[in-house]
Amino acid sequence: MPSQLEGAMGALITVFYNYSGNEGDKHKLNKGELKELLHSELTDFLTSQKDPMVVEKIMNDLDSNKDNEVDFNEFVVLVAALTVACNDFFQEQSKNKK
Amino acid sequence: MSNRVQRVHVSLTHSGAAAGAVPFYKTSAALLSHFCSDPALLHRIGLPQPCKLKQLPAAMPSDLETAMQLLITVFHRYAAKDDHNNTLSRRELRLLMENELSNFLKSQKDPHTIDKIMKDLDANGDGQVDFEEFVSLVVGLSVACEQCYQTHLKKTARQ
Repeated sequence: MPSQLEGAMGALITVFYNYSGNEGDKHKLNKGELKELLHSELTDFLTSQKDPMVVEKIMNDLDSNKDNEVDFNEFVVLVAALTVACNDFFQEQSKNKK
Repeated sequence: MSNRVQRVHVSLTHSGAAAGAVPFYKTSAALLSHFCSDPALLHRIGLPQPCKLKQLPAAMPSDLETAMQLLITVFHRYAAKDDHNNTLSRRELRLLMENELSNFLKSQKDPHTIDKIMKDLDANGDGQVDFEEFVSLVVGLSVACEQCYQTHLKKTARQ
């Protein structure tokens, strides 16, 4: 039986492959697949961004080898950054309550 | 890897600020409200219950949001065991790895794996692992798992 943490890491891989397998290289997200992933999996995050170019900017930030595709190594950086930001917010909240 | 996380982190948390938009993490309350539904955790870190964050409509979290929430929950479950509530001591990290990463540990031949990982993670050398340092472990393990998965997929596709 996987632990919660192992399950969470497995979920990152599963989610990535749910979208990367749709078109072209099955192990990478092209811009369309990334956009679909962001819209479906991180709806709150996207709707809070007023900038219509946010997906392009994220793609640009993540695609470190500039091959116009986001592989898992590049994708996981986004997840890490978002999770750290959420945790920062949570820790601030708990500080303010004290 | 950690520098890239920091760079993306900075650009994410500052995007939209110029347009007067609320920084995205303030509107990730939906994600956090799921996290805040764990009353034992709230109590340990001194938050009153129920969580007083502005509540967004309680939409079902996506699989990705659930996974991200779990990373935070698991970290804090172990970090809250001693006085430093936002960091993992060596003891807490050992407990976390033994309970949450037992399958990974079993596959390691080296009995000093935990100590080596602790040394690697504790980037600022203060004997404590903060959340960002912990996330780099999760990232590394996930990337390693995905490499195996990719190899496996390519092998089965050829058959």
